[in-house]
Amino acid sequence: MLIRPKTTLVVIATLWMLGGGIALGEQPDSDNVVSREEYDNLKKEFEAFREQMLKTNQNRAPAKMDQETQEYLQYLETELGVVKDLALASQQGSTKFLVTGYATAGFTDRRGENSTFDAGFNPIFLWELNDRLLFEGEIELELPGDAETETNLEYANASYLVNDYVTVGAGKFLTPFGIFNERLHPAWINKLPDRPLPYGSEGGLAPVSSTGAFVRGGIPVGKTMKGNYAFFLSNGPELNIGDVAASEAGSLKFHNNADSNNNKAFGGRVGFLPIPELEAGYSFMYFQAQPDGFTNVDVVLHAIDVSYIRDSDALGGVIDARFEWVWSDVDDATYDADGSLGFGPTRFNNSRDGGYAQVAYRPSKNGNKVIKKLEGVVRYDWLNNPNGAPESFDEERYTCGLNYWLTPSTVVKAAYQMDNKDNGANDADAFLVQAAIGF
Amino acid sequence: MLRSRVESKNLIPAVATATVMLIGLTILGCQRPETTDRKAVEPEGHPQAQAEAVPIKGRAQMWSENCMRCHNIRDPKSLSDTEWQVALHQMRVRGNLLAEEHKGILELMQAGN
Repeated sequence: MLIRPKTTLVVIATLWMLGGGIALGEQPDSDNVVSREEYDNLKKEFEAFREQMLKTNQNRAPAKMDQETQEYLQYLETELGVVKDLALASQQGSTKFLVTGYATAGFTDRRGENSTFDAGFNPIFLWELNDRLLFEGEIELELPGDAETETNLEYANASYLVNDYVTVGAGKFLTPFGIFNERLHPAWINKLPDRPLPYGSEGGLAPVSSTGAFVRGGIPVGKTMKGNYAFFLSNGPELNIGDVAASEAGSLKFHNNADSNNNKAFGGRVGFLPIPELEAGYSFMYFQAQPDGFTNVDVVLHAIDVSYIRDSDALGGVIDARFEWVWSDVDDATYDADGSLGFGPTRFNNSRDGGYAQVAYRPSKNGNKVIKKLEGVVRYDWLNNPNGAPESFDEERYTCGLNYWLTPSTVVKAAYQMDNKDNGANDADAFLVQAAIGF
Repeated sequence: MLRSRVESKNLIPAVATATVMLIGLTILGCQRPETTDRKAVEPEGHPQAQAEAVPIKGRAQMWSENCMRCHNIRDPKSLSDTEWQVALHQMRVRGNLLAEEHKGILELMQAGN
């Protein structure tokens, strides 16, 4: 094969160029060469830069948290909006309603009678229509011994606050005569299982409730003393003529929802508190009680009451002392005039009186958690009836009780009552137990 | 009949006294700035409440003195703020509380909730 010189030169040149190119490519360029030292320096710089970047990222974390917080706040705002909507949907409006009241369970073992359990439930409905207007109503549900559940409307009235000193109202209301019926009769407040004789629901001397209108209020007297008043005009009670039981002749029927004559009852109570712990009051009530067929029978009731309640460190607890005395003066009348009722005709001086004195002590400051919830109670009550009245007798009782307060409005009461009647009536000593819950 | 007239006359001074007293209280009460309006009762810490509220000690004293006169004092937490408004309205009427006492005890009960 013939190799031409020109071709040879081209090949040589090409090989040289390739070889030179290769050689030039492998040869370090002084501008681009990185020495080991430079490399290490660059590595250090890189590490420093890396650390700086990490720090920067760490510094940026709060910004990330802020964003999360903002998202959470937005979530909360949304949820709050939902809750607000729910609250607005369930809002009762401007009027306010409250169901309160009390319930009882009791046991009575009285001499001459069968021992028995009993129960009661007294729901109270309060409806405040505005800051001045209030409706209150109490329904009394009882279990009488020989009948279905008995329902009584204890009270139902509306009152209006005229100004700081005057409140007016109308309806059926607890009679502001004495303090027991109006303030102390609820079972969780009354410190003994039963009522004192002058305020008994049967045979008592004063009305539990009245139907009519009232005006009342409290007034400051000087800087530390104060007074209060309550006056009412209502349907008057009616004279009991003894048509159901001769022993009731001359007593008063206070459960008189409709007046038996046009003469209304007028009464009230005025109280004075010289010191906060002491209150004294005077009550009166006047009405005519004659039923059909009787001439006018005027009735005047009077009562005084004194209360002293003190929570004392020196006494180690609370002492609660109360005293009330009621007088009833009913015009003389002739009962069973034609003798058809079998006990007349009879006429007698129809004056009665009764009262009670009660002292309770609770060592509420005692360190023992059981003793501090105990409360001892002693009460003496009496009722003097007219001597000439049919089957009449005077009565006095001594009652000793021990209470245990489970909560401030829940109490278990146990008491023993010694009864003493004159005119040959049987004494009726009794053992009484009652649990009461105020809610 | 004669006796009833006599006894009725005996009550005339009492009725007259009561009437005069009521008229006087109504006039006096209407002239005086009222505490009855419960708009003044604001939540604890509210500027208006701080300005107008009865001092704490006074309120606690009102609470114990007035409530204990009839029954044990109850835990403020036993009722809500709204329920206390209703309950104390009833106690104002039944217990003849002074307007200031009504307001002070209500503030204390609501603050305790």
